[in-house]
Amino acid sequence: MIVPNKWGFPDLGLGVGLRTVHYDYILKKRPRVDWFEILSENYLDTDGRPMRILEQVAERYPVALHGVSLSIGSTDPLDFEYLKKLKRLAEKVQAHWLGDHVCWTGVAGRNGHDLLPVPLNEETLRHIVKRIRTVQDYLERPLILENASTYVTFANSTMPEQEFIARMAEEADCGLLLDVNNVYVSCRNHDWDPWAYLDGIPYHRVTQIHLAGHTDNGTHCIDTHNARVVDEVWKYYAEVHRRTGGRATLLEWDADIPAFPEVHAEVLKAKKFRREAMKRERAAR
Amino acid sequence: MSARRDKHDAGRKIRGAAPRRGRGSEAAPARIEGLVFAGHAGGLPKVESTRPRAPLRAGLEAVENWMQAVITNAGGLGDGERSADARRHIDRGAGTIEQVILPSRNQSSRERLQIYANAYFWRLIDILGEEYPTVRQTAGPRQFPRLAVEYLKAHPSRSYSLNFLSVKFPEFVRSGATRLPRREFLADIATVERSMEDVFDAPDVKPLTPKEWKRIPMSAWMSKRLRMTPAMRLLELRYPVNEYISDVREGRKVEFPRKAEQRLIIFRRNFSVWRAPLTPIRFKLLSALQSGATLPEAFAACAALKGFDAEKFTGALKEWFQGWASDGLFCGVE
Repeated sequence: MIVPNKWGFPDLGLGVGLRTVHYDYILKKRPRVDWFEILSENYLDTDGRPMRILEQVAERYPVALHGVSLSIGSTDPLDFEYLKKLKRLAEKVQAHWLGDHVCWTGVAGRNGHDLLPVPLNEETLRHIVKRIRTVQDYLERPLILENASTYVTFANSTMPEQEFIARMAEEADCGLLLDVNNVYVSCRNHDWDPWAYLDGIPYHRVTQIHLAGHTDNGTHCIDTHNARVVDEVWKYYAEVHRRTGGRATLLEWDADIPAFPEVHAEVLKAKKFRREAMKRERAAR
Repeated sequence: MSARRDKHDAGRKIRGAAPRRGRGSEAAPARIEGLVFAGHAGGLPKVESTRPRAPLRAGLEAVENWMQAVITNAGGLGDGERSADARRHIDRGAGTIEQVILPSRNQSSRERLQIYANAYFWRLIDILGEEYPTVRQTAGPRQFPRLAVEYLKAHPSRSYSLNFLSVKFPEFVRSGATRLPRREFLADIATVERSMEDVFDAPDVKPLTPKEWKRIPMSAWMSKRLRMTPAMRLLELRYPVNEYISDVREGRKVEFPRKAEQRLIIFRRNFSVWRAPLTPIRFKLLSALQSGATLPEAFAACAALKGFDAEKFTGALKEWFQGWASDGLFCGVE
């Protein structure tokens, strides 16, 4: 059964992460891309060229913000200076929504600039839920939080990640950004069942989907965002599409970035999987 | 003014996306000769087996502080695990890592945690290298990572933004906190490259237009102060690094220049960052104006310079000011 988005956030279609190497192409050629996701931190403290480019992009395309520094899982106090800038940026570019990750980036006043995993237990859940509520009150909009790809699990975790995420989203009343490549990477790394993971997601809260490539090192996978989306991840995507009927979909490509048309072509492959998923859904009714 | 367009404005690094995780196999120790900040090097205690122990009851705060202490220890996971910083939060003796981190079917607890340890240093070394490409090239592939790691140990990031990670790097290079050949030369290069970053991101303030210039009455010039663009830095350097930086960044063959003072202006025009050398008198005049002097005060500062030639100075003023105005250096009168 298709589950609509709780807040009525639109399916913006198939978008691409805005990257500097593509600035000139995008401004000159004005490609017919459905939407762009921008990395919030790249624009919070600059009033130079990146901001001018972003203003032009936001004039022509729908934009959503995606951050990496909220550190919602950290036990350090929330950084309201950061949130203030984030709120201002979201208003400036009229962002459709604001996202970040279920993770922490540092404690004791430090920042490692990495998306670090949290123990999945009741204490963490209570802590994160409280912070999400505070952030949402401050930003006056729901947060859209992404399942990060992780490389360790903790001895004091007591629940599966999908359960943690589902309860977090329900109790904090926040949205979800489901990264299907991260589902693949984390499940590979932790010997989890990806289909059970996907079964546990509350799809009425899923607002956006991420696609990306990764590096398979045999013993484990690394979320490198430097390659095409693998077939298995497309299967997950099709399944999520079947359940949601369509959510804003975004391809992340952050290393060894090819020319813009190639990146765009990769995300456009989603059309085929969307069509096939809906055919299956109709046939099942 | 002969301004030099720099490649710096051609693009902007993506900060924060998909943090880089190691090079090659994350399980392998990442080594820079003589420097270990990852892996099994550093004399890890051999953990024969995971003896059954009491379940881990550490709270979230303890786990996060412990993990940060372990993965950011430049001596590697073993040193991190044994460090007082980590043990203050979780200490279950030899094999604490195995008590906190679960293994997977294919990887041990240490191999898994190693992925984060590798990522921490390599990612930040990469960022420093992107911000200081000429320092990186000049210091070389052995020296630069060492310098970067020493810097990160002394000045770990304390901001949500990577923009601020390296603000103290030029000062650190100059300070002598780490052994470094050609220290002063590298410090000058770092100062320039940092200033280019600052100018690139500085607030965008509209420069005075020719119309606005004309509206300022002559009488006002004796008492008013010119407001300079925040996207400008004036640097006094011990080495002539300007050409050297351009040569390195553009891939030309370089020789280390001899010590000789150089004064530089770095500014932004049309969202591109430019650098140009300045004569001592032009540097003095702009510095005085930037620090809030009125025109008569700035002229007096110039007149105090050795070898000041009043006739030449007054003859050149118009051309200098026209050039600076067209470069957008002035943005108001107050």
